[in-house]
Amino acid sequence: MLKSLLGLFSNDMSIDLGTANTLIYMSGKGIVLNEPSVVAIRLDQRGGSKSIEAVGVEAKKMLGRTPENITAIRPMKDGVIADFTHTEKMLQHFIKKAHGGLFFSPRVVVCVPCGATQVERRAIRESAQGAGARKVFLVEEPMAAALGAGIPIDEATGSMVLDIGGGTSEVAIMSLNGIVFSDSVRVGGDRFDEAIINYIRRNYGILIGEATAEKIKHEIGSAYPGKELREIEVRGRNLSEGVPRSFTINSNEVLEALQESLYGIVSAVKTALERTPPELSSDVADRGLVLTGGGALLRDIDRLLMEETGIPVVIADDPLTCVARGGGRVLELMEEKGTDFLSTE
Amino acid sequence: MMEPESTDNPEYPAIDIGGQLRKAREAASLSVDDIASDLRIHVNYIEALEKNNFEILNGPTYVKGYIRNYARLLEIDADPLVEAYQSSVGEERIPVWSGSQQPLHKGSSHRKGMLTGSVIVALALLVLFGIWLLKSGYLDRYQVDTAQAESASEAAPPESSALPETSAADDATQGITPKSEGMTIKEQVQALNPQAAMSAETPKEEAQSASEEPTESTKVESGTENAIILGEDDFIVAPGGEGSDEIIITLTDECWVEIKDATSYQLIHGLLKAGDIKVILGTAPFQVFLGNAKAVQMDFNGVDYDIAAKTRRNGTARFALVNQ
Repeated sequence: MLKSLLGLFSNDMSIDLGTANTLIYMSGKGIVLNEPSVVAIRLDQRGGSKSIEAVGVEAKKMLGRTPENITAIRPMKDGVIADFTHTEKMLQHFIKKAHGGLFFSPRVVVCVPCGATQVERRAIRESAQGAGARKVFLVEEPMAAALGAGIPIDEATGSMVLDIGGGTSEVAIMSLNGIVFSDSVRVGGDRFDEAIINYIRRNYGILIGEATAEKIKHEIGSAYPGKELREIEVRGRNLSEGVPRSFTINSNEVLEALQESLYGIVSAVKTALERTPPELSSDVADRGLVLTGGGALLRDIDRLLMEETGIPVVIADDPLTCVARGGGRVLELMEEKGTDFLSTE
Repeated sequence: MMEPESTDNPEYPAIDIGGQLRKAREAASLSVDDIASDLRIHVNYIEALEKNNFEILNGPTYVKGYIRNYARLLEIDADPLVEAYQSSVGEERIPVWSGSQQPLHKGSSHRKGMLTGSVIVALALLVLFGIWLLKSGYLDRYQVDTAQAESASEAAPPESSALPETSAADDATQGITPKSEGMTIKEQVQALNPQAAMSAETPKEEAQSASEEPTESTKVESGTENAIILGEDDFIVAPGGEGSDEIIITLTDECWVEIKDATSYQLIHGLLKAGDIKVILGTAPFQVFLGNAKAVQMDFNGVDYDIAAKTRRNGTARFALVNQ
C-alpha cells in the first residue's frame, strides 16, 4: 500500500546513462531530458574545494574552452563510470531537473552495457542511489534498446539488435524475453570523433577539437561510399605554424578515417552471428538486424552492415532515444511480468 | 509534424504504400529480385510489401525499416509511406526528440501537483497521529477519568468516538484485561471468563458490559481508600484456555504454592509474596500444595475454601479441589 502511495508522488523514470548523452524517460511524459554527459567543475583556488559550475548542455559548451580553474569533464567513459563523484553529481542534477521538486524520490531503471563488470554495475547502481533514486533497477542496454525499438522479443524467434552508443556498441540476439548472446565492443561515437581528429592531424597537420570533430561527423560523416561527395570547411590549429588555419574536408576522407572503428563494429556483429545457434541466426537473416543508438544516425551505416553481413538492416524509429524508451517499457512490464528483464548484478 | 492523411480510416492506408513502391520500381525498370538482392530481404517480403500485405512481415519495427530501405533505394520520400503505414496499424508516432530544451514542468501544473501532494501528506500525517494516540494509550487514560461519569453502556462517549474499533480489537486479542470500575475480583474473573460467569452468581449482562471497555491493567477499587491492580501476570489460564473452574488465592504472607489441574499440568509452581493475588482457571479436580497454608485465603468457584481444616501440623497443606 505504501508503495502505491509513494507512486502517487514520484514518477518512475528510466535513465540511459550514456558516455555522450544522458536521456531520461518518464512514464506518461516521454523523453523529458536529453543532455550531454558533461560536468564542469570549478576549483576554488583558496580552499582547494571543488564545486559544480555547470552540467549538461551548459557544461558541454565549456569543453575545451575553460580557464585554469574550471575543468569540463565527461565522467562516463566506455559506457561505464570513470569518475564516481561527478557522475553522481551529474545524475543528481538531471534527476532533479526531470523529476521536479516532488516529495518522494523516484524508482529508476538504469541501462548498463552488457559488457560492464560487477564492479561497474555496482558503481552505477550506487551512483543512482546517491543521486536520489528510491530504488534502482539495472537493465542490459541491448534489452532496453530492443524494447524501445518495438521488436517483439517475447516471441520464440531470434531478433538481433545493435546499439551504437557514444562509448560502446552493444550487439545482442534475443528470444523469449531473454538475451541469447550479447557482446559489447568499446567502439562508439567517441571513437569516431577521435579517429577524425587523428586523421586530420596526420594528413593535414592540423589539430582540431572534439566539438569540431563531432560536427564533421554529423554533417558529412558516412559509413559507406555514397553517390554524392559532401564537403565541409572547418578551422583548426596548424601544428607546424601554430596558427589557426581553415581547411576543407570531404566525406570520402571522413569515411577513410572511420574505417578502422567501423570495422570493429562490423566484426562484433559477425562474431555474434557466428556464435548464435543456427535456428536463431536463420531467424535473424530472415527478419534483419535492428540498429539503435546515436551511431545509427551515421549516414549509410545500415548499408555498410547490410553489405558486410548480407542480412537486412533496419534503423529503429528515433534511434537515439530507443534505450531510454525501452527502460521505460521495462518499468511498465515489470508490473505485469515481474523482473525477467532486469540484469543480475 | 505531418499528420497522416488517413486518420479517418485506420483499416486501410489512404496512400497505397505498396502501389507507390511498385510504380517507383517499375519506373526505375527494376525487378522484384533486384530489390530483394539489394536489400537482402526475401522476395516474398518484397511482394508482400507491394501488395500491402504487412501481416506476414515481422511487426511494425521491421515493416517501417523495410519501407524506408525500399524507398531510399528507389530514391523516393519514405516519410509519407511510413506515416501511412503507422496510421493503418494504429501506431502512435514517437515524438522525435527535437533537441531543444522543453520546459519540463510548467509552473502552474507543477505547483498544482505540489499542492495536492501537500494536502495528501498532511492528511496522512493526521491519520498517523491519530493511530499513535490510540496506540500510546493516552486516550485510554483519558477515558478512565471520564468513565466514572458514564455508565458502562454501549453508547460510546463522544470524546472517544474514534476509539471503539481499536478497543474491540484489543479486547479480542488480549481477552483477559477487562476494565472494571468498582468490581470485585470475582466479578473481574467472571467478566474475563464468561463460562465461569455463568456458574457464578453475578449476572451475565454485567460481565459482558464490563468487557466492552478494556484497559491495559485492571484497576479494582474496593471501597474508596485502596485500589488493587491486577496485571496480566496475575491471571493463570490452563493451556488452550480450557476449563471452567476457577481458584482465587490471596496471600497474607510468603508461601510456596503448587497447583496442578486435572491433566496434572502445573498451573502454578513457586514462591508467592505477601499481597499477591492469583486467579487460576482450569479444569477441576486441582491438586494443591501450600507451604505456608495459614498465609493463604482461597476461593474455589466463588466459594470460600476452608484451608485450615486441611493444614497439617508443620503448616503445609496438600489437598484436592473437587467440583461439587
